[in-house]
Amino acid sequence: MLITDIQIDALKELINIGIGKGASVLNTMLDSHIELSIPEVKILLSDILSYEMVSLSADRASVVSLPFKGDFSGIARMIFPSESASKLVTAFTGEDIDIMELDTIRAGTLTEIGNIVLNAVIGTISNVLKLKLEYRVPTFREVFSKSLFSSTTRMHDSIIIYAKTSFLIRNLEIVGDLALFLEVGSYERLIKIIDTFCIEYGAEIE
Amino acid sequence: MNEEIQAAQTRFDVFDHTPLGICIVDSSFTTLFWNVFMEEWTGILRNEILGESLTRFFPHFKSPTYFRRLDDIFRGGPPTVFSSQLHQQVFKPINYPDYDQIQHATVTALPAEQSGKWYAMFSVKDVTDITKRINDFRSISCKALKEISNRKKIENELRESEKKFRNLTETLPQTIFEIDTKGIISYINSSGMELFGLTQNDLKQKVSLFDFISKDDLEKFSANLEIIAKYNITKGFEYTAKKKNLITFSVMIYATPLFSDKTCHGFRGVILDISLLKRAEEEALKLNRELEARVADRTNKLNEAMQELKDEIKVRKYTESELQKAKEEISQALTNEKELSEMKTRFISMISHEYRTPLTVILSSTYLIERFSEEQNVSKVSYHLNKVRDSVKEMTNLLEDVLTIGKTNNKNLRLNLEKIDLEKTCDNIIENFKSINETGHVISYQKQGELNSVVLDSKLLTYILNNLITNAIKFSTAGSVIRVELKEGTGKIYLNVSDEGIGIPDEDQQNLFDPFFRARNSRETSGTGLGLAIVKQCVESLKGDISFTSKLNQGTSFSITLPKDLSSYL
Repeated sequence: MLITDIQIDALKELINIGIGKGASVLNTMLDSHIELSIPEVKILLSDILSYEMVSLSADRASVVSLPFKGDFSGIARMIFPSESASKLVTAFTGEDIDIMELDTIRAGTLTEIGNIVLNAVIGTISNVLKLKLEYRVPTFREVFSKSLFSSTTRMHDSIIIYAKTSFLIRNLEIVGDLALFLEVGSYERLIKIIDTFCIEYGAEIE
Repeated sequence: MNEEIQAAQTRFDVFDHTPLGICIVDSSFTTLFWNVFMEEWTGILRNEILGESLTRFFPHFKSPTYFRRLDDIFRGGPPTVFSSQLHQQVFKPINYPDYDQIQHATVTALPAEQSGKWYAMFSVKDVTDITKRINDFRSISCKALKEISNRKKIENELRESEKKFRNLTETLPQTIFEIDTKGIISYINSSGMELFGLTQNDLKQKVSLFDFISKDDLEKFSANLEIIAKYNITKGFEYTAKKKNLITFSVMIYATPLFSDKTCHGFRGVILDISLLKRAEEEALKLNRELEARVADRTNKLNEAMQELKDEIKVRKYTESELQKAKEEISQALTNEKELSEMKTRFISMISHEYRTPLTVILSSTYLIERFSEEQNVSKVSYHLNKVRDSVKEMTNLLEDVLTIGKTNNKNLRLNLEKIDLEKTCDNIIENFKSINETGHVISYQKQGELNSVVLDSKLLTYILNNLITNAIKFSTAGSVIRVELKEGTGKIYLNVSDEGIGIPDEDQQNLFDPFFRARNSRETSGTGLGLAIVKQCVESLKGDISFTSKLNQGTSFSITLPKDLSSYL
């Protein structure tokens, strides 16, 4: 199913609103200002087009997942190359350490950051589109980048709404991936919902 | 307690059996459930908090950080995480201010009894222990990292250093090697590989250094290695080595033993190719020999030249001395000639004077004899005849003297040696003088010692003594004393004749013994000037010495020394 420019624009708008919300929450938690941006939004066909993802450039990736189901099902994921993830945590906590590993404590911190961003994006989408969604508890995992799309992720045949995410914090730009891994049926449902939404509220969104 | 709270106790009873702190609130933050862990951690009992607003105990939930993030929960929104690093204590242990528990909280939406409404459930995990452990781990890690980085630095430095030394050994023109005790080469630099014609493949096949030492030197090499290991020394020896292609060459191998646990496990060292050096040494030796031969040759030639030069110098010296001799002879001849000329002059003057007087006497006597013969005056004739006879005698004596001086001057005087009684001879001469003493001189005669056995020419001695005494009488006033002394010493005879006469002027003393020389104060007295000259030559013929002392108008003393036995001198 092909997505139209209008649909893409609508999606981009929704995600941007969510990102804005997330940035606002993060800013209240930090002394220093943080800028969150998503320069582009793409629809990727799972592993075929997944090379676009930043996290694949490194060996290991840190993944914060927020599974959901309801009007459409899937997993919202924020993925960083492990080293970037660690830098991000250090930037947030202001830790004066040169450990580049994510231990349980630091993984918890990354989980919270991911949780804020993912909640903002998913929350915005579901609020705006008036969707009924049920959520699971967010999880953290560190995986080999190449296994991101392996069968174990159960997402190898999903459609991905992909947004490259850039954190600019303390003059440091940390780039990662924000991805909604959607089940095929869910994706179609989502597009339809967006379509309906565009027809009803098109003027508002523009 | 209202119904909702009571229902919640029943509904969430299961959470009293989980290892998490659980707190459930409604959208107005009224506490509906507070499990045992929450009681335990915070010190707030269930009875105190249920039905109360959570913000009464934990006012921070009013802040936007929490409020905004929990807002969606009450609309069934996605779970919210409060991680331990960003929120150390979501539920501060109010009653235990010293309890620094670290919490990780997740807030999830739970559907309320009343449909469409949502509760917020705080699941609080105690991560104190793990955080502490992680912090411990971190500090250990930090230390370890530092240690590792230090080690890495040291390792890098070591590696660099090793690289440097390896590069150094690789660039060295000398061979650097390391072998085990069996000689298996564990390292050899590229110079060494080149020297022996080795390849990397050879090294892989574990070649031994022993394979590259000539058969004759193997035992020596092995023995030297043993010594080096035994005394733990670094020493070099010369060997004949062979390349892989069996070409032999001279090497100097310096080796030092390698020890681990006091056991020698191998050797390390340097191999120098000294074949060029050896060749140079041989060439130098050869050159040296050639040089030595050349030097010897040159030395010989030089010696020959020197000898020639020496001979030439000898010839020249000889010639020079001959020349000198000739010169001296000529000079002598010239002197003799001069003396002769002077002597001639003096001779002529003497002859003209000394011969004239007796000749005049003879001539006048002949006239007188003629006259007195006519008168027949026999006594007068006889007197004048005696006068003629005396004059002739005088002339004869004079002639005798001249002949004697001629003889002695030409060294033709023949000695007539005989053993005589000197005392007796002298006694006779003195007696003779005393008997004809016409002038009244007093002759004092003294003798001393053994004088009766002397070997000499008595004629010459008589001449000497006669002449000296005659001179003493002639040149001293009548009646004065003339002393004659005769003495014997060890092998010598001393004869002294002194008078109290006119003496010899100082300026004439040096020429006194010259023939025909007459002192200026003697010219009025007749004389030939030959007497003392003859005396001197007689004394010299008898191998004796003559000397004199004289003072004008006081007297003269002649001293003569003669050997007692002249025969022993000839």
